Amino acid sequence: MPSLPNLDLERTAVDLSLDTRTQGEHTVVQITGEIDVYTAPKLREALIDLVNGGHYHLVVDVERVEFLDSTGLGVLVGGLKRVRAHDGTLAVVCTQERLLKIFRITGLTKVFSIRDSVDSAVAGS
Amino acid sequence: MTLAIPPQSGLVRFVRLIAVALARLNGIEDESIDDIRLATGEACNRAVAANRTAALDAPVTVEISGGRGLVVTVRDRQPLPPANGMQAADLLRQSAGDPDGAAADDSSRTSWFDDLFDDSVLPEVIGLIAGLADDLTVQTGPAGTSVTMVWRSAG
Repeated sequence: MPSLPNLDLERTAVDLSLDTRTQGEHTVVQITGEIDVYTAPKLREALIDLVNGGHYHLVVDVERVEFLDSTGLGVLVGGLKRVRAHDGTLAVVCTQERLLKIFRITGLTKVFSIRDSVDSAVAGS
Repeated sequence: MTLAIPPQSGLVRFVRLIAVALARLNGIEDESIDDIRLATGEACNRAVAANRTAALDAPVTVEISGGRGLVVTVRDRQPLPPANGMQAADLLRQSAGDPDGAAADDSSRTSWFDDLFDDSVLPEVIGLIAGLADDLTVQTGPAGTSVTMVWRSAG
């Protein structure tokens, strides 16, 4: 069987951008684009870097996320585990029903603090 | 329509796009479109991981047909014992991340996806898909697994 071509997908634009800022004691990560099996590693690395840099109170804002699948959820769970190892917190800002649905179906509404704004997430921690 | 994609995660989004386009062409209502996008992507993710777990370069095949709704069937080539329904779902859960396809206890089970992820707390994907599709059929066998998802159009 002929070998498959190397599609060199790394040269394709990754449809995920991250903007990080500080608000009080919290670090807010605003995500734009799609979080799926291909783009989730970028988010994972960003969360790992933040925790390694001493940022233990994170607010992940997915209001500009157009798509989120179970790999994205797995990365968020991983981020939560990492901050909790330092007695930290990770809250999610999400009001999009189509994203809230996947949190509900997977039962992760019981795991994450899901807020309707960054200010609410910061105040609630 | 039948698609055959190499088992590469970067291609899954294109299958999602095609499934959504065909869903719209077949008159699926808007509230189901997001479910179709997510479920198709999840099924493809699972199949890509399955082929890679089995060390196969074989493509994942996706059949999409319309009519009075949408039917999406995703097939991988990872050999497993033959099973249907809940028994098949259990087999898939056990075989996730295990190159030999043998049952593994929870302590040794690795992430669904490639070894970029050491966070093994991932939702059970078949259960997720079941919550998104109107009907779901899962069959495992020595030629691989097929996951068939059905969405009915209103009226």
